[in-house]
Amino acid sequence: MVEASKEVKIVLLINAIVALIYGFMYFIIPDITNQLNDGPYYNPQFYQLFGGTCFTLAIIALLAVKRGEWENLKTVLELGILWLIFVLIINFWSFAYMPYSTTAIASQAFDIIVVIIIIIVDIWVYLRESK
Amino acid sequence: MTELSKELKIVLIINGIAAFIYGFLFLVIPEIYYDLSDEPYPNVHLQRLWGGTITLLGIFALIAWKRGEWETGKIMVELAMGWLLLVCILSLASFAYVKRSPTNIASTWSDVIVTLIFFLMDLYFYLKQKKG
Repeated sequence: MVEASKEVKIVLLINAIVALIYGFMYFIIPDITNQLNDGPYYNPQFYQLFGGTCFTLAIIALLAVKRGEWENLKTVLELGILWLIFVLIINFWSFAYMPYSTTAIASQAFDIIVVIIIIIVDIWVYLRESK
Repeated sequence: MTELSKELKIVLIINGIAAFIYGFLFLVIPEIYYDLSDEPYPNVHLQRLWGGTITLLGIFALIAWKRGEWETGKIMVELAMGWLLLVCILSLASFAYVKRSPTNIASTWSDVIVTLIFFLMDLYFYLKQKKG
């Protein structure tokens, strides 16, 4: 087993913190989040399922950091990168069919920027560690 | 490197297939799935996010199966178990606050049962591999 570098662990911790924030918003306070986002077609169950998924991914990232093995961290990092790319594509795609208000567009744009930043950081650290 | 047991590899493939079926329903044909399950709050964007997540978990179940190592497969099985348990609990909890039609109640119950079976199957073979 190869020990992961400090940078990978820090990046995964940052991922986990962001996931916990989104998890809190969608899982614990979905009604308030929906009002803040001005989201059309509010679906409380799917808000909570999405928030719960963010929580689960954060817990798995923390578990991998705790174990500290690159083999584990690599899998979690790959999952994180691909999941964020999926989220990014689907968020962009949603502009084509969702009737967003100006507030909702701003909220979506903010989410997209956060996701892009995390994807770039994740890919950078993944390639660096793989080398 | 410890090799994944044959049972756990089969379990990962079954997980992957089920994930692709649900992923297809939510990601590719969300409107049709809404009609089939008589969903009370249609939100295609969230449905697609959900379907994308399930599809990706399916892809990673197959990656873990292909690599065949317990060290990398372990964290994927743990993720799957945690996620399935969460989905099961949240789906059950949603009966308290989502107004459902009889069709949607039946659809949600079938999801809960499928999720529970997968969780128990994953847990059983995970513990078996861990002990062995």
